[in-house]
Amino acid sequence: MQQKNADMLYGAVLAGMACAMFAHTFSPIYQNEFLFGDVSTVFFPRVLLGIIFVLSMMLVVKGKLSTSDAILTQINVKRVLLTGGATLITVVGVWYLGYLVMMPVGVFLIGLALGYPNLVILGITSLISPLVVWVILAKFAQVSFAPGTLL
Amino acid sequence: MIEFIPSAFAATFSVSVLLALAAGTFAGIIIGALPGLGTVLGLVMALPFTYVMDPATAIALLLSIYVSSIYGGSISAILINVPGTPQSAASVFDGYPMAQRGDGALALGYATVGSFIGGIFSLIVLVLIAPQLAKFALQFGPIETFALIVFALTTIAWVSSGEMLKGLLSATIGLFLALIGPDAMTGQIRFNFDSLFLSAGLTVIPLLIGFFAVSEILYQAAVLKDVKLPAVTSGGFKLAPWSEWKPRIMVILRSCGIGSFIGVLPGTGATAAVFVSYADAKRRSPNPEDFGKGEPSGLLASEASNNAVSGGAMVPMMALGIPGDGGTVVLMGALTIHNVIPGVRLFSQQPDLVTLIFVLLFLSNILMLFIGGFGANLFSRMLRIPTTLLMPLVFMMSVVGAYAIRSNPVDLFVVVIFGVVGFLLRLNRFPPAPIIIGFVLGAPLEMSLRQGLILTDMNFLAFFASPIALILFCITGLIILNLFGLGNAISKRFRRKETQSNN
Amino acid sequence: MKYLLPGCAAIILAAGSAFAEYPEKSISVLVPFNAGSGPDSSFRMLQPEMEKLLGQPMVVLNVGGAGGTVGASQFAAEPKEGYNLAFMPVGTTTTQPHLRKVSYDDTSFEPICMTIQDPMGVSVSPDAGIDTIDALVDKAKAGTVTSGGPPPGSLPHIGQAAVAAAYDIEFKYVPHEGGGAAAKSILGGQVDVLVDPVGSILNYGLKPLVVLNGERLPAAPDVPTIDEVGGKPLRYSIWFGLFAPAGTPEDVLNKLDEACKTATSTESYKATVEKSGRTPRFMDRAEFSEFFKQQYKDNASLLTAVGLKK
Repeated sequence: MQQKNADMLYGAVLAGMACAMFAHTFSPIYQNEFLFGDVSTVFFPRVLLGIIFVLSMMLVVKGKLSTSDAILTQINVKRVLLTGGATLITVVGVWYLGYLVMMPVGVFLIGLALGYPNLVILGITSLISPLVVWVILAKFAQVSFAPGTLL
Repeated sequence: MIEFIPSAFAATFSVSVLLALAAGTFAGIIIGALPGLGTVLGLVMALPFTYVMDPATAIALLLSIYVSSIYGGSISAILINVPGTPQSAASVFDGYPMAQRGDGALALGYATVGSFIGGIFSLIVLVLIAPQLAKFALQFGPIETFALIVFALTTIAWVSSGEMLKGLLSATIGLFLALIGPDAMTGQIRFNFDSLFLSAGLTVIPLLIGFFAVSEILYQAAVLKDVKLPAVTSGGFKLAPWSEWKPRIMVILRSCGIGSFIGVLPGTGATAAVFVSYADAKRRSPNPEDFGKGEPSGLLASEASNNAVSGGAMVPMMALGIPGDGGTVVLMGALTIHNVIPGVRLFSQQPDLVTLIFVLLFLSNILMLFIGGFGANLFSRMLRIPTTLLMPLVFMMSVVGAYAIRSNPVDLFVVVIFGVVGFLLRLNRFPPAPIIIGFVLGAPLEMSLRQGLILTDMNFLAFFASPIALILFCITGLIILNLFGLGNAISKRFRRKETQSNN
Repeated sequence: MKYLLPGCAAIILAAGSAFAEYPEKSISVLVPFNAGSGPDSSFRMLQPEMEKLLGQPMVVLNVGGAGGTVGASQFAAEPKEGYNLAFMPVGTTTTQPHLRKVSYDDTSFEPICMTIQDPMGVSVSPDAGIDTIDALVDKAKAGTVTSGGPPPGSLPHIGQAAVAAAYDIEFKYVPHEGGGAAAKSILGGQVDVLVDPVGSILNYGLKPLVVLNGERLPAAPDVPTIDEVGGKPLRYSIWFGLFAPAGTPEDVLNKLDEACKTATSTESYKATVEKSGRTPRFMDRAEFSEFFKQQYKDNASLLTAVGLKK
């Protein structure tokens, strides 16, 4: 994608999100009375959202006015999507199924998505590493890990 | 207090204390280097172990973890472009490029010595002028704090690497993210869309991991050509020659000063301090265009300043009983449980303990220097595995660290979601650092502003009545003018007037 | 027939010994505040003694956020076998539920015991030149007096509102991140008053004017109670207690109550707590349950009385 189109796109998206959030600040849940001499709880957010809106519109304008043809970095879209998907699945799984069950699966999936060639080593690593970390941190140091079906 | 030094040293030469110092330093470096864990978590992990220890051993363990974990964060920042702790967020700018061009060992050398100098500098400050510094810190009320944070925000300009507009956007988004959750002034929960877990807001470590680690993983997925390429090709520990150090002495000292000063003031932590130091170093450098490409001064500014915060943060903790940053909150809790009560009475009622703390801090920094080199070598070796194998493990640590701090599933999702967001932003040349700066400063900025408004009855102009705030606002104004080249234009105008009047 | 009685006895004994085995594994104690905070340290002072008595480790789980409401909401939904406990303060359990929408109320928890009760006091900076509460009241009548403390809804906030209401004056409240941050503002001269537990006040180096308690505190023997200076009988304190989710078995609760009673009576516990500036106070299950229910009701009307809730 060309740099200037990306700028326009990003700017438009950010401006849109800023507007949506701004509208949200008018929701009745924020209409509480506030302390004496203080500003409303949504005052500062609105200021920030306003700034974001202005800046992102400036970005759109910058993209429109740009004369260069610069291209963004060449990327391997498929691999990015696979890796991103793998991380999302891992995190969802860790929360609902627990760390011990999901992490080995997660490590394996992400390594797979990235393209690590040796599946045997990947498999062994993904089984041992989460377990070692868990033994040291959860059992020894009493750190909190996401519980689930197994834990 | 000098009279207690001999007895303090005698207390430290017990086996348990020395073991605790060594173990703490070693553990601290590892905890710092592993992305996702961080200083606060390291101290929390050590806490239960200290119950069975006597106070000296307990303090030794905690202080050594506190000091060396700050340094440990630089190791992964330099070697794999992922800050191990939030305090090392600025070390990636120059540390990682140095490693990429084969100077990894040099970078680690700079980081280790820089951290050591920062720690010792702030210790000297702590020992010599802690009570006076604490008194000065008290002058920083809400209005002055607001002015300081506004000043700190100008550092965005120097870490935006040319993309000022996008840097400002990133920073503002970061400021906004900090507002999610409870509004400290009214208790109102904002932007949680009815989710119980979101009502607690976001915290910095999952955001940092997402923005730096996961986006790095996705970035590698996007551009990596060789799946067997080792993650780290240049590492180890090497000290640059004196000729490289000599011109950088001022940078180091100034960063130490900035770090100590900001550490003393509650409300702005190490993360803000490193960016201010980095910006300052870049601004004053004869070669600012090299910053961000592997200029050792940038790395030194970051690492000296974040360790300098450690001593600075101990000033309000010990002298006032008010913690200066996240790590000192836990330290204070731990000290209280061991019957060491920080506060005004500490210096008068338990001066021997105060001296002991100073001595232990000193030894912790020394040990960090020596074990640090060893740790750097170790990690360099361990990280030689292929990137495609390392990144899943980095993700694993990120997930562990994200959940460990407050057991909130939001943090797990933040890691992934902001990893994606960070990646997308990175593609379009949005600098990542400003989001972190904005996030860290968002809550204190809003809070100090509103507190100031309450105190001045909504009269913002009254903010300029405070001398400290006025000075800070002026400096900020000058910096902004300079940024827009207006400073140059004004001085050019003056020079033209002079030459005209001479004719 | 001759086997009936021994048989019954055997069954009863077997059942009894099955109960007597609690706890069989480690117990998780949820503290709805971050590590190093007041509630967290207060529990960690108790932790070693309880662990010794119960023979099992107690693992602290910090779930901070929104005055403790995030952690408390999570806790209310946890399993009730007795391996999930919580250590919570007065604010989270009895005032926050009235101020915002939370998923729990006083019936969600089974109080086990109280471990600390810190009476609060009204304090000012030692350099302010104010020596009595009446001097403070006069100053408030003559001009503006600012008071600081944790976010609205916390006990210090309620305390200062109650004091102002009792003397028919107004304090301009300036919220801070916590008591420590407010103390810094007081010492710096930007804010005038802080209402906080007396032990904390002394640790910060502030000057307490009155204690909002029935009798003087050993930590501050020269500070009069509010009754003594002719004010209304205000009683405000921050207390911490151990809780189990509602529905936890009776015998588990009793065993924990016993352990708590012994743990809080040890010299080492009392010494550690007192040295930190806090006041150890034990209430057993029965007394604490009643106290807790009463506080829940009282604080609801209190919030309305001082104008914090409509």
